[in-house]
Amino acid sequence: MTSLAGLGRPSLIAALAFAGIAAAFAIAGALRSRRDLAEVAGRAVLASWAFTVLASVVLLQSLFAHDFSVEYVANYSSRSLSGIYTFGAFWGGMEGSLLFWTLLLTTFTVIALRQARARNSRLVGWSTAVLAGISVFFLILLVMPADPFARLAEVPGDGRGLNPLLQSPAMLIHPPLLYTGFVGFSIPFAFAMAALLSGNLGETWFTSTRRWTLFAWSALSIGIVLGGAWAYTELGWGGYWAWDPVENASFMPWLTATAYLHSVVIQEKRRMFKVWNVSLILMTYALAVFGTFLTRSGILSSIHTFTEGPIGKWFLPFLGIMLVGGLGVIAMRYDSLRSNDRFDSLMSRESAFLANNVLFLAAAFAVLWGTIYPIIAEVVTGVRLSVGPPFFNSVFIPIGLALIALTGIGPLISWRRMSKGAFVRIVKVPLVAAGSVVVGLGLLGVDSIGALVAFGACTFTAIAIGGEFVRGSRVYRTRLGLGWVEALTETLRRNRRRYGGYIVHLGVVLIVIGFAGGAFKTERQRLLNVGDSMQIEEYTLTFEDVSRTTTSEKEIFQTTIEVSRDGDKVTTLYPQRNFHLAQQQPQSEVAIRTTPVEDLYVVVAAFDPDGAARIHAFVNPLTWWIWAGAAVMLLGMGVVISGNAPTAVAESATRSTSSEPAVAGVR
Amino acid sequence: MFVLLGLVGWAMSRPGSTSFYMSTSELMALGPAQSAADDSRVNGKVVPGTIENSGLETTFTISDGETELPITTDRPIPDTLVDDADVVALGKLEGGTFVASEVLAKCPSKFKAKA
Repeated sequence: MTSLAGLGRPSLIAALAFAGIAAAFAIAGALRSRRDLAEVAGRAVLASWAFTVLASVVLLQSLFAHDFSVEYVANYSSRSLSGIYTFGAFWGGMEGSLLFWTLLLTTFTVIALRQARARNSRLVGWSTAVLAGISVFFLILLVMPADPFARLAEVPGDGRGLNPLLQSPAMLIHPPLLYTGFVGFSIPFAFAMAALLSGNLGETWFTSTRRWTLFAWSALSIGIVLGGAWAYTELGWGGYWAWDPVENASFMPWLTATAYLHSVVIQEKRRMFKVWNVSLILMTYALAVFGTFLTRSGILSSIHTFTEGPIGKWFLPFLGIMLVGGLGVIAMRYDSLRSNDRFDSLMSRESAFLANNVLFLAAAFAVLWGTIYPIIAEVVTGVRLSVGPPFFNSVFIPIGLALIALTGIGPLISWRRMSKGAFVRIVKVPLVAAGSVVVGLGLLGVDSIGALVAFGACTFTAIAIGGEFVRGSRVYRTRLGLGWVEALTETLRRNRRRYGGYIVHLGVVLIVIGFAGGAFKTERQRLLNVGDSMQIEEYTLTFEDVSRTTTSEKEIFQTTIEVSRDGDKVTTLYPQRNFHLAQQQPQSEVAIRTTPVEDLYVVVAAFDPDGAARIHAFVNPLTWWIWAGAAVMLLGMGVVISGNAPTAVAESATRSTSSEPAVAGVR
Repeated sequence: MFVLLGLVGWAMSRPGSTSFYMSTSELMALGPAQSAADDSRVNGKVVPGTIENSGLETTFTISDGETELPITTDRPIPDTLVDDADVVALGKLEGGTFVASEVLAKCPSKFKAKA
C-alpha cells in the first residue's frame, strides 16, 4: 500500500489558512454587519474542516500502510498491532491526539454553525470568529511544534508499537469521549462569547446550545468513568482513581460544567446569575484547555503525560488570551448582565442552586489548588513538592457528601420561598430512613464515620428522589386514572428534563455508594507455589496451575486459581502475567470476580525464577455500584437530552411537583 | 470562602498530603538524618539490569545520571517498571536503601529519543 503521508502537512497548512480566513472575515463581517463577509467566513470554515478531515484520513492511512518513515507511525504502531488498535494509535500519541482534537473541533463547529444559521441566530457571526480562532491555535500547533507528519531520516523496519497498557477496549473509547467532552464545551463557550460580543444578552446563547452542553457533559462524565474502569481492569493496583494530575485535569472542567448545568436553570427560570453563568462556561472551557495543556506540557509528572515536548509554552499564551478576552467581554457587558431580581428567601430553590454552585466551585478550586500547588511551590520557594491522595480525599469527601445531601434536599424546596413547616414535612421521611440506615449499619459493626455519613446521605437522597417520582406519578394516577407503571412512564415522558435529571442524580448516588465501599477494601500479597493456597477475607485462593503460550505479540503466562469459600467452590480465575515482545515489557492481566456485594480482584504481580507466583489479591466491596451508577447516569442523560427545549419562564412557578405536573422541566 | 480555605489548609497539613519531590542526587545530598524524617518522592531512571524480584520484594536501582539509589519495595510494581523507565517512588531512605511504599513508572516508549 503506498502511503499518502506527503499530503498530510499541506492539508494541515491549508486547514490553518482557511481557519485564519474564517476568523478574519467573521470578525470583519460581525463588526461591519456585512452579510457577504460572513458568508465567506462560513465557506472558509467548511474548507478548513474538509482539510482537517483529509489530514486525519492521511494519518490513518499512513498508520494502516505501516509507513514508518512517518515518525508518529513509527512511534505508536507496529506491524503486529491489530487493526482496531492501529486505529486507536490515531490518538495514542501527542501529535495524533491534537489532530483528533482539531478534527472534533472543526466538525462540531460546522454542525453547530449550521444549526445556528437554520435558526437565523444573531450569534452566528461572532461564534464563527471564536470557533475559527480556536481552530487557528490548534492548527498552528499541528503545523509547527506538534507535526504528526514529521519524517524520520532513517526509516525503521518496524514501529515501536502502541504501549500494551493502552491496548484495551476502554482505551479505544475513553480518550475520544474525554476529547468530545472537552471540545464539546467549545460550542456553548463560543456562543456565550458571541452573545457578549454582539450584545444579544438574552437567553438564546445557552438555550440554543443546551444540547451541546449536555452532550459534552455526558461524554466527559462517561469518559471519566471509563478512565477509572480502565485503570481498575488494566493497571492492577486494585483502585480506579489516584488523584493523578491528569485525572484531575479531566475532573476540574467536569466540576465547573456541572455547576453551570445547574445554574443556567436559575437564569432560565428567574433571569438571575447571568454574569455567573458566562463566567462558569468561560471557566469550564479554560479548564478543559488547561487540562489538554497539563497532559502535554511535561510540567507535572504523571503516568499519563505525553512526551515532554515544546507544546507547553504555546498553550499558556492561548489560555491567557482566552481568559483575558473572556473576562474583558464580561466586564464590558457587566452592567447589562446584572440581574434585577433578588432572592426572596433563604429557604428557596434558588438558594439551593446557589449552594450547589458554591460547593462545586469549592471542589474545583480545591482540586486545582492540589494540582498546581507543586508548580507554585517550586516557583515561590524553589522546593519541589508533590501533593498526594490524602489531601484530595480530605478536601473532597466532605464537599462531596454535602453535595450528595443537597442533591436530595434541593429538588424538594420550592422556588422563591418555602415555609419551615412544609420543608420539615417533606424531608421527614428521607431523614428518618437515612437515620435508620446509619444506626442499623452502626449496630452491624460499620465503624468508618466517613462511610456511615456517605451511606446516610445516599439513603436520604435516594428516598427523596423516589418520593419525587411517587408524588409525580400520583398526580397522573388520580387525574388520568392510570396504573402505577403507566403513571410513572407518563411522568417521565412528560417531564423529561426534570425526571431525567433525577435519574442522573440517582446514578450519582449509586456511584457514591461504590466510593464509600472503598473504605472497607482489603488486600493481601503472598508468594505461592503450584498447589499452595492463600486466604483473603472469607475466600481461599488455590494456585492450581500455570500455562505458557506464545503469540507473535506476547508470551502469555496464564495461572489457574481456584476460589472457594467455606469449602464450597466459588469460581475459577485466570489472571495472566504476560510479556510483550515488541516493547520488552511485562504486563499483568487482572482477573476479577465481580458481584454487587464485592469484587475479588486477583493479580499475578511477578513470577520468581523458581516459578512461584507473587499473587496480589484485593477484596473491594461495592465497586460494582460505581459502574452500575454510571449506567444509570447515562440512561438519565439520554432522557434529559431527549427532552424539549426549555419552555418560557414560569414566573409564578411554585412547588411544581404535587400540584402542577404540567409545568415542564424544572431541571 | 473561609470555610473552604480552612478546609484546604487542614487537608494540606494532614500526614501524607504533601511530600518533597527530589532527584536521587538531591535526596542523597540531604543526608540520612533529614531524609529519614518524612516520606518523600524521588525521581530517576531505572538502571538497566537492576530489577530483581525475590519473594514478595522487588529491588531495583534508579539514577538521575549522577547518583544511583537502590530502591526496595514489597508493594505491587507497575507493569511499566522496565529498564530505563522514568520512576517516581514514594518512601523513606533507610540505611542507604530507599524503602518505597508506592512506585510509579512511566513507560520509556512514550519518550522520544533525546536528540
